[in-house]
Amino acid sequence: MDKILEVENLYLYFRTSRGDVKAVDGVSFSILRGETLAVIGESGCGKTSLARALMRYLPRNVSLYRGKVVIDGINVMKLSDREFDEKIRWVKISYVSQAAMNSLNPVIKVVDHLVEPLILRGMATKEVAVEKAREMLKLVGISEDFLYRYPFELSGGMRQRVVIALSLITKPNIVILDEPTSALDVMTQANIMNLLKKLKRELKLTYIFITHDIGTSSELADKVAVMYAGKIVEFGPSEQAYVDPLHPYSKALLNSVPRLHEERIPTFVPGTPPSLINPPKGCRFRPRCPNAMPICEKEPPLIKIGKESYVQCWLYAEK
Amino acid sequence: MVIKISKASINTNKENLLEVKDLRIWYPIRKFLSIVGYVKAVDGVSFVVKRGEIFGVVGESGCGKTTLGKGILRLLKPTGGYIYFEGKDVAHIKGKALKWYRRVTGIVQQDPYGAMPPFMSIKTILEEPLKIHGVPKEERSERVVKALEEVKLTPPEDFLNKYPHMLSGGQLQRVAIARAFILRPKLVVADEPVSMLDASVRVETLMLFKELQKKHKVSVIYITHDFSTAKYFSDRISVMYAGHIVEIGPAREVINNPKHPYTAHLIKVIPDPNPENRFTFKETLPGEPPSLANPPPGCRLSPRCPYVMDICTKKEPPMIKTSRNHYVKCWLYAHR
Repeated sequence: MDKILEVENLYLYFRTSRGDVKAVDGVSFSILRGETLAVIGESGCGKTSLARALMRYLPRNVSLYRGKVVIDGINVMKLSDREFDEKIRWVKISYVSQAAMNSLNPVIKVVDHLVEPLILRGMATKEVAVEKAREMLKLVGISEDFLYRYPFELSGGMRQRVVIALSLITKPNIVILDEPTSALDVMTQANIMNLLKKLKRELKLTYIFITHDIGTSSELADKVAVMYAGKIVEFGPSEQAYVDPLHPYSKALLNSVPRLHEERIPTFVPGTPPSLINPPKGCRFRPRCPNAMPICEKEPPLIKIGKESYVQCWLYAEK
Repeated sequence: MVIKISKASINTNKENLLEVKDLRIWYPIRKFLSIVGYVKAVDGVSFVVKRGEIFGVVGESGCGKTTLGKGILRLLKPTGGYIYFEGKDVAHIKGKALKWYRRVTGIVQQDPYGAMPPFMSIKTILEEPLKIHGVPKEERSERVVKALEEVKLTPPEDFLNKYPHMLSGGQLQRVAIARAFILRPKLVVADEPVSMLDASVRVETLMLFKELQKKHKVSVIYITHDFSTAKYFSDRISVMYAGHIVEIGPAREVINNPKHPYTAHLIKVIPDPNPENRFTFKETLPGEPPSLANPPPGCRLSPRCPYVMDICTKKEPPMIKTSRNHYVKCWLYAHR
């Protein structure tokens, strides 16, 4: 399988009156075609900023946006905003944002939402686009009767399905799902996860699944990236990440999940995540880490473990 | 129609702090000046809460669990039924008696930022209930400091003069817990107290909550949509669906051996972190919960239930005892 996405040393800083917020601070990873990467971490660790950096949805106060991003063989950081919009965004990579079901415009019908990306990019005529919208709606499990309804006439779960249809209508290779189910009920959430799994198989999609819900992330993930304070501290296959994680933070995070089907008293990570304006020197988890050593004051290198895993921690450095 | 229960039939067991009988809370649907119907958010709910017990109420959004909590605290007026608190009916009290009830109960809400006035300092926020209930001035600041220490916001001096926006969500929720406990209540209703917090902070907050609850021997009604925290936090769990309690039992038993088809499906679809999850599809119930303005006749799960029988669509199932302390509202368990 070939790499569909390669990210190298990606940085995204935001300017604020108190200093730069280092939301994405030197992140590198790659995903193979058809694979799902789950990005997990606590709120404020830079997960959503990473998605925004990949989609180039940038607010005005960006102070640093740098790195190498290769999507389907194209180095997108070299493209102008206009080229990016024409060739990449919604063509190669699309985005389902947080609370996406509330992002539908209440006065625009479902069908008009769905055809917009196609018509805007000149990918189809109106008639063809409507036909595609009809197919897409069926694919996500909504009766085509809803094509000419308004968003408020649909339930939360159905609106979420519409947004997923919207992200797929241009047949992108990569879909970024940013907390796609966190606003939904348990049963609806399970239905949406089933749908995402089905679409992944049928359309051979590559997902980047961003969530703080570790249980749900394991429903899709082939690979897992654990983010902490703007950095990916561990990256590896889900067989490792959910069973025997490497980084002390990943371990603590996994142990904090209350298990429903097995008996294991959850524990918590003492302390709070650091400020991204003024993160601690060296390893950013050091102040909370049970295994902290003097050397941790120096920035740990990225260490390769086994075939596919990477961890950024001094514990794994060769002495 | 409200079924009246004669007061004599209530046995006031000393072990029970709270006894709820056939509680109904309906919201009127108004059109112009007339009432055209009711949203039956809580429709005939009965249970008891023992002294020093954590009673979990689990359900999806819109099942009536928040309304139930507010009704028990008398923040809403019940449409029918009884709420016995230490043997006294509090469903219909007002004035001085209600003020007494406010003192012996406490609440922790979902969003701590919404639950605290942003213009009041932490000190003022914690002092207010003491003021209202006539705690002498000399005593107040000492109790505020103590309350902050109890929830591990130390040193308390660092927090007294801060405002809500200066604290993190987890810290502020601890202030909310301190506020709920400051009058030494006998009952605290916690409505999704940790669902807005991060996973790692959730466990910490719940552990702290439990520590306080044990220390002061308070009964807690823990309202949540999250079975996994309810499992570790509650002693008993009740499951709500469309305004009814469909199952009540000891926490571990309800989760490991669910009886009601709704509970069983809900528990099955909740994933624990496991790399195997991605290879299987989840078995879900078709459809969505019914409208509470016009619920289906008989069992309210009947339109979605895979085990539906003739009787289910006609008659509402009774609460059936399946084992010690385990009750289920389902026809599958009748006549055994």
